[in-house]
Amino acid sequence: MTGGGDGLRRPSRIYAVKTTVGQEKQVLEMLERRVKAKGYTSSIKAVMWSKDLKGYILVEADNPALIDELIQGLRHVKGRVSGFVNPSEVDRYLVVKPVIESLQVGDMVEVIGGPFRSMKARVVAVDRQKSEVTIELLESASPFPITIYAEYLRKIEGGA
Amino acid sequence: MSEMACRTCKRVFRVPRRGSDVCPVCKTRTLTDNWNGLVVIFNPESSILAEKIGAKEPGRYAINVGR
Repeated sequence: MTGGGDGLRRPSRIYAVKTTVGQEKQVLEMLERRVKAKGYTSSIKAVMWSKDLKGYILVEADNPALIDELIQGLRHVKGRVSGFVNPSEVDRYLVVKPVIESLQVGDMVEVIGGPFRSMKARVVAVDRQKSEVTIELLESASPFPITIYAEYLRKIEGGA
Repeated sequence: MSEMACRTCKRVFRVPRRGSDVCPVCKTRTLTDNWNGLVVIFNPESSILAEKIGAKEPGRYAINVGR
């Protein structure tokens, strides 16, 4: 975080708002409703939530005092972080790393799309060129390998 | 209601669970519930985030849309 704010109107900047971890999207939606209800849609340019930015949402505004007003009394909000976020720091939350890059043989995954959705599985092969992963479903009595697109999978953190 | 994102234009919408799979904006049949990350653009004019995601209209945009 860099810089500071005196509440005067200026070109827009991105500010971070600290939230309860796991409630970021809920806070964003409450904030979205407040921005519209108060008619601040010209001064508050945008709000953003990324799953890689735990415990924070980002708000772009031309006046940080408006953010302070909007978040006052909002559930799961712990306050605005002083200063502003350098726009180049935001890029890493907007550029999506393909799922396949983070998968390795032996990883535990959850299927998030297709007919095996919500089932857990173990990765037995990874084809990075085709972006395909071969998995064995854990809930199956006789596990047989299934090859599916990597984007249908979510890595379970802490998996073996 | 469930939130679906369009694979083509990345807009996010609330649609009935058994509703249409046509994107209200770009009219393609490419809606999916496999998405994450959200940018709500209120005013794209001179907005840093709108420029970064290539949004020219106000609306809700997914950061990552899967298959």
